[in-house]
Amino acid sequence: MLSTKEETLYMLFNSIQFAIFFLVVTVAFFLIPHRFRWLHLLLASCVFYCAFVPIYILILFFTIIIDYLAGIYIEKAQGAKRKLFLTISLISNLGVLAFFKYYNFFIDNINTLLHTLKLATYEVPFIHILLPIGLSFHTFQAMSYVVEVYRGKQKAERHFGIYSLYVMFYPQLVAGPIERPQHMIPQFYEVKKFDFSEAISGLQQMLWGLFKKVVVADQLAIYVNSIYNNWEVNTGFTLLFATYCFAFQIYCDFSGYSDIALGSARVMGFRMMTNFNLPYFSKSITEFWRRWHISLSSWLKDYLYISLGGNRNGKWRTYKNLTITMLLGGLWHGASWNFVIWGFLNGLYLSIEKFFGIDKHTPSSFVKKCAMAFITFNLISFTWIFFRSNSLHQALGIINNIGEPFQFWNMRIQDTGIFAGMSMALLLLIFFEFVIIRKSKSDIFTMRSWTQSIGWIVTLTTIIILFGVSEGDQFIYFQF
Amino acid sequence: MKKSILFSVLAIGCFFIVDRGLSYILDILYSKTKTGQTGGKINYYLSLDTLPEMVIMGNSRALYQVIPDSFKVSTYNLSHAGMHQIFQTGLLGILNNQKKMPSCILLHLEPEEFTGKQFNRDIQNLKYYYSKDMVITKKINELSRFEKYKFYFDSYRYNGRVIPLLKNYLQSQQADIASNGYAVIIPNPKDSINTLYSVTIHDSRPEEKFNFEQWSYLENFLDICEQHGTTVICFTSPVYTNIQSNPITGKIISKLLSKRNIAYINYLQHPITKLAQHPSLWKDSYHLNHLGACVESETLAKDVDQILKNKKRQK
Repeated sequence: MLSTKEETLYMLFNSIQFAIFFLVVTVAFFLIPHRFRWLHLLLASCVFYCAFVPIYILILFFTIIIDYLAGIYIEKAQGAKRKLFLTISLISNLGVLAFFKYYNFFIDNINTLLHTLKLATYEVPFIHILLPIGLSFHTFQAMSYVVEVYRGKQKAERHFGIYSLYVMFYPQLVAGPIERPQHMIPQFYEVKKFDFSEAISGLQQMLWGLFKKVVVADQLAIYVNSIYNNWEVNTGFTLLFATYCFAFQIYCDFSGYSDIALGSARVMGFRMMTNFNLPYFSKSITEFWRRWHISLSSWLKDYLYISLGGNRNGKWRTYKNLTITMLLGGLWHGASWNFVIWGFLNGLYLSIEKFFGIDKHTPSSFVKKCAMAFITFNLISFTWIFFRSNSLHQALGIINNIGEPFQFWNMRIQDTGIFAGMSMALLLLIFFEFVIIRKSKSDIFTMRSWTQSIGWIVTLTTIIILFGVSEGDQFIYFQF
Repeated sequence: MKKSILFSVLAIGCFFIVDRGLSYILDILYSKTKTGQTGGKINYYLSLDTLPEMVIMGNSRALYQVIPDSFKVSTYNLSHAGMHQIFQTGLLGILNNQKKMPSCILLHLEPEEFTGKQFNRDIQNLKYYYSKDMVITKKINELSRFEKYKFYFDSYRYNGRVIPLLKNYLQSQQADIASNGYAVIIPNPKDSINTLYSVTIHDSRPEEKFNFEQWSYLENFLDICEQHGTTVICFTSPVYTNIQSNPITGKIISKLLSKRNIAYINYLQHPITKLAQHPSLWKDSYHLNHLGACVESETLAKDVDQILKNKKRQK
């Protein structure tokens, strides 16, 4: 069992270990015959997973076997038996998730309740184990397979290796995108030939992701952590600014990860679903959730919101379903009341927008668009306070300090060098996203010319080497 | 395949030219920088024609709290905020290589850093000297298996410090840079409140096990000084309350230092009364403002003077 954070930092996408691993796996992938490639990728994914906590691969295999068999039995069975196999599979998946992720949260709340009601003097003990890496992601991905088979939209996969690869494919294993079987499984059967321009496009996307992670997110993290860890002594504007910074930090951290994942799969010829589409340019919360963590929001919509009844049973049921979906989405992120409140607030926003018809309203003028984007960004940033804070007490304290009018205009910069660095990184990000990516009609990573690609690669590599945080933290979404 | 190889060669070639070109420019800027923590302060010290008799080394609690002019001998404060013992040892190695060793070093020790935690990554702040200084190169390589590969990119030596370097370079060009190395924390009317408040947010922690790896860096430091006949006096600055004063660690340090015949002034064990009574002399519970720094420096100067006199007598 790993004990220190340092030991868990293996094979992160922003490490040299991963660069070597990726190079070796990719070169070998194209050198070996097609019929062995699934095995090669599966073994590589096992190595990748074992670099974190090796023993946990047994848990992963346990759920893989259950879901693999459940898929076949659901397809074969008729009537109530189909539901039975589906239930067994869902209980196994959610059981593992509940045990590792929510057991201590549950016990903590039970203990608090018992103490408050003075029903017991002893405390139910906690379990001290690490959360298997990417558990929430691969659990949801496996569940989507079983549900799709149950719904008859996906044939049960007979090839155990291919099914395992669907769950374990290393670029998306620990932090998504949460793929759908219809999209991924057929790709493992396709004969992939080395495509030079696709490989360069993938590399460009990886570098862009790395830039977002180590140059923007990790630099912002230094500032955000220093302010949030000492929130008691910081006043309104500083905390507000740190919250805005966190909004960009989490965006760059997670979308950076997704870009590296998508890019590394693309080099080998695999296409995965886009996970982010410039979310902070959204003009409503509804639009934001169509652009933010798309693979999760679509998962929640397809498998939870619709299963709850969606918008089929009247207005109020729709609001209730929206709120429940987002609340559970919040809980998916972490076992804490902060995440529950974060999810609830997003559900509330979505319901209010639906109530007033904002979700269908498209602003006509540029000023209106900017105003709505600004309001949306602020509403989302408000929810990030709960997401980033370590406790409810901290979140409420920060909101209270931000609302303190007499001490609001007091800005703490901390280290001028770090502040200047993160400001430069943010400006670069906004320039790239606003001027280049937003205006571009097609995929900006597609290789157009040698000069452009070499320019992009050399520029980004230089920026990463000079400005990247080399001792950066691991990706925020790895914990979910 | 040919296309891929050609593309790789071209991309690597272009990158190599950009990398070397940037390093060349940054090297020039670095050599002309004489202020700031990104190496300017070290450059300034190394460029002094007449070396001071005594050099103060340590972290922020030495940088902001010990005024060189309080001492009877010529003194320079070469402290760097946030840096632990491994950094001080690396820095001393640079002074040694450049033949700029002073005759006396006043070294600030933080008992907390000799407990369970590791602060090895501080050596990264001297990565400009990678491959120029054997000790620093070795310590950086020891950080991880893959650390050395990062230095294949020459400009990596400036990773994370380009903007501060540019700022310090411009400052070095414009301002009167003559300094004794001391950095002032200007007293603020809110200091008392902040100090009293910061006491309330720090919990007392159990003392952790003594970390002999951290101690070995201090041993290396003392070895270099011994080779050059440099006198070392160690000291620890006070804190506003003794919540985190690590008394057991302090005693171990004292014992280990006395074995090597090194004087140790520990203001955690022997607090300066005036400082303990006045929160207005502090910026927070760990750092004194300039008013407090005057008090500590005065006391320290007397104690150091006494120790140096005793040493002379012994000789």
